[in-house]
Amino acid sequence: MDLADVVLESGARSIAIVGTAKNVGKTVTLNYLVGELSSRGYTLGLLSSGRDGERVDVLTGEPKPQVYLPRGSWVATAEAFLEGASISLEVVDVWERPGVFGRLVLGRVVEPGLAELMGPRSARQLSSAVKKFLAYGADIVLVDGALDRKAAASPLVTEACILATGASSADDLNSMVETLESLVWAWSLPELEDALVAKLGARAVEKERVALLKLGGSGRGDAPGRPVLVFTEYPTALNYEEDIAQEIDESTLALVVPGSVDRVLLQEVTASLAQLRAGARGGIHRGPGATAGSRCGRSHEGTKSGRNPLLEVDRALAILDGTREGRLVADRAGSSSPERLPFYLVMRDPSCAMFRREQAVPLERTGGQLRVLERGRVLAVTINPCSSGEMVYEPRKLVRYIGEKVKPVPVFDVVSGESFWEEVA
Amino acid sequence: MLEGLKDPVEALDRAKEGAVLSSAELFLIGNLTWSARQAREALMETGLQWPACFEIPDLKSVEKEIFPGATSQLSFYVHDSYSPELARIRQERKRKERDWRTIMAEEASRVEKILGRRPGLHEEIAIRLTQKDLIEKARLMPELGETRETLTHVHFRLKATQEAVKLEREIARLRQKEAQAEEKVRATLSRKIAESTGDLEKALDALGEIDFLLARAAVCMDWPGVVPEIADGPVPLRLEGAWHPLVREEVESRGGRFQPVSITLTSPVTVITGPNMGGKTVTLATVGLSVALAQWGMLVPAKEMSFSLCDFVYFSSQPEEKPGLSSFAVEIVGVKAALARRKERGLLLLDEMGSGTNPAQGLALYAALLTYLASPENSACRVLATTHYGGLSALTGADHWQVRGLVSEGLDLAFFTEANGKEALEEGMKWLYDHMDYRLTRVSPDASVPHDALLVSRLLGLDREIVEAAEAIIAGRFRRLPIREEKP
Repeated sequence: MDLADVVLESGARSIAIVGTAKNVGKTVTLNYLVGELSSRGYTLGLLSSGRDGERVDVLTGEPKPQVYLPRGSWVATAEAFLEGASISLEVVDVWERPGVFGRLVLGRVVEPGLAELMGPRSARQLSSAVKKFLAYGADIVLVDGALDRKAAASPLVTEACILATGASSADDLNSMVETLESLVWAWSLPELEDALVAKLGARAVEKERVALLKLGGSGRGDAPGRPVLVFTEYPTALNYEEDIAQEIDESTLALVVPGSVDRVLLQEVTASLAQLRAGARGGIHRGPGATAGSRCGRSHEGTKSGRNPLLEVDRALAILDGTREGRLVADRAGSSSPERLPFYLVMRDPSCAMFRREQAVPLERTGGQLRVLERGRVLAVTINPCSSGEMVYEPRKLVRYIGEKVKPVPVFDVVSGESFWEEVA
Repeated sequence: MLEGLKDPVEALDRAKEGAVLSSAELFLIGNLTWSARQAREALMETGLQWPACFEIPDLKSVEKEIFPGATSQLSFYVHDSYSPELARIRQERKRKERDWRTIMAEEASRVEKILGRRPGLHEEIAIRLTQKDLIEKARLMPELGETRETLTHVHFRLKATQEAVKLEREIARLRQKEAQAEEKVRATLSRKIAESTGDLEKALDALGEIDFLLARAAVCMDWPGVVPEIADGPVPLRLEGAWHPLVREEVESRGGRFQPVSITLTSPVTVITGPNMGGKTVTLATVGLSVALAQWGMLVPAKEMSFSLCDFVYFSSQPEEKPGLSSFAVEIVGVKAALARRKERGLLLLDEMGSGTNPAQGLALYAALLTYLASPENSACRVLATTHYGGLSALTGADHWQVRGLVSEGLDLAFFTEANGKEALEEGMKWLYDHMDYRLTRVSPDASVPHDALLVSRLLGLDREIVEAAEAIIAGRFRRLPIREEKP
């Protein structure tokens, strides 16, 4: 079984190839897959996420390998890259794209050859380009994820991803492995088990607001145990980590963050949870003024008007309560032991996780759990044992070493043909 | 229908300049001809007589040039069918490439026979260092050349035979010729496009008009608006129950109730007075917007509207200062520009002109301007002007409308003066919004202007002592406090 078999067996029709750093053999992996899959008769769709088209690496000055575009494949490239290129395309669409490389050209390869790929900048447009290629008739779409462009591997864009890593991706092997482990871990973070909570979470993401899922926690006479989604005024957690974390109280089942989640938010949420568990902070039924200074707006609850412009409760959600979906909510409401109450920090998808695995450990120890609304999927890891043309590690040993760390994800060196994976019984 | 239309303006301009368009640019022009044909057919299907600006020229001949073959999907490629010469070159190149592949495949088979494996991607073979005998064998083979050695492998590449090298050279030469032939095709197409730019641009403009028409139709479906009555001769401008969509949205989003505007402008000049925060500026904006929308052929957000067409609408809003010009100067410069068109049937909306200078001169100037504009010898414009100056209407003989203003019964002023901070300000604003009667009524020219400024200041939380001192000044019982001495 080789990398192409893994791809075909996965059934995924769109796959991102993401490098953990520069010069990790991402394009080598991509070229390998292009060669293997097209020689087996599959029609490919090929594009890149963002800017990845320099002929010479801007950092190291080394020539960058181009991608082989087979006849009949659907590709996206920049108008500028087509001038003087050996390939030729049947143009099927032209997209405006800001930047020095000119418009984005989508087309079918008439004359095959080497060229550079290009793609739209936003995840939304990237996703629509992937869908377009599938609609044109591509069997599998491969997205070349540019340097640290995790967006390409977001479940919003591609169904699965392959992580490319190499010895040059970090100063030493250990930190390379750490990065890799964190990525594999994030991409296997579980989805919310409870469909009701997941529905509410999706609502917050759609509205682009950081939100808290509370059980009767709006403090306006809602029946206890009735789940409500409380929106804060913040579209992302950035710079307001402390304020947001302070909004977590005993009735909070989940904090949903639409954008990226970083180390600072993890720390603040952990601290807030720890305080709650230790009983150092009061519950929600405090008198007005008790939360003075809060910027999430609860301080306004005690004013004459009773109107709080900053805090909006989505009451329509209450009708979802009582269905079978709400088991987690029901369990939580019925639980009397505060120590065993779950708390979920919910991210849109693994590409939002801007922290390392070990940075999430304190939260988990405090009883918090990380969840995603859209789960990721890592098909394989590819390694490049060379750095700047110099062999740094013995491929067989490196493949085995990394294979042990990321199992059950299979590991390949497509250059030497070495591979490692644990058969799952 | 228009969703798929791309922006071809830059490509059109380049064609006009005589440039050879790229494939992507030719696609864009083709996309225009394709969209134009769809729209043209849709317009014809309606069976209506469309105004000239919607007329889309027949671009079939251009479309046929760019897309000679009928395709279900819009796409562009310099096909063989464009040029027999190109077809011939391509055929020859492909034949040579086939020959080259045959020769190399034979070489690869020879290698396979001896080494037991076939060269892979890029005609390369990597042999593990441990397979010493295999490496020795490979080194002795004339078909292979050693390229590099790593910690673990020795890499070889399949060498091209003399014949293959010759073919490679010929293929490269043919590719060059092919590129030239392709450029020739694109140059011919570009020239034809350049000849038709008149029609292409006309089609593009018409598509723009259709887009705008559709957008207006979409807005009309959103607003419960009204078709205005447009009179031929000069009639009063009458608005009943009109609203400004943006202001209304803002008011309703904070839970307030928007009071629609009703006003009739019968004489050349009409003056509006009213308290601060009384909606005078909103009235001006609503009148201006209603006229503009009506003249753009859109439904007007109102219950009723009747008017006669204007040549222009001028809105002198409360100006922001520009570098080197005070707000007063900005106003004057703006009005001067509007006055240059005073003989046309314009609508001038003036918001508290002259309030940025001393009151006596400001009033005099405003009154003089309005009187000047009211005279039929000087101007054909209709003017709607807001002011705080008492007596402006009396001075000019203009129609006078007034905002009903604050209904202050049951007001606990102490709450607002004693409370402080953001909450009190919010409460003050809320009280103002709730107790302001924004409706306009027609009053006599010499009706006095309201004195709500002090009350409003109080509601907005200005220090009580200051507001009371102001009240004392008005009542004529003001005593000045000793002035603080500044130490040098």
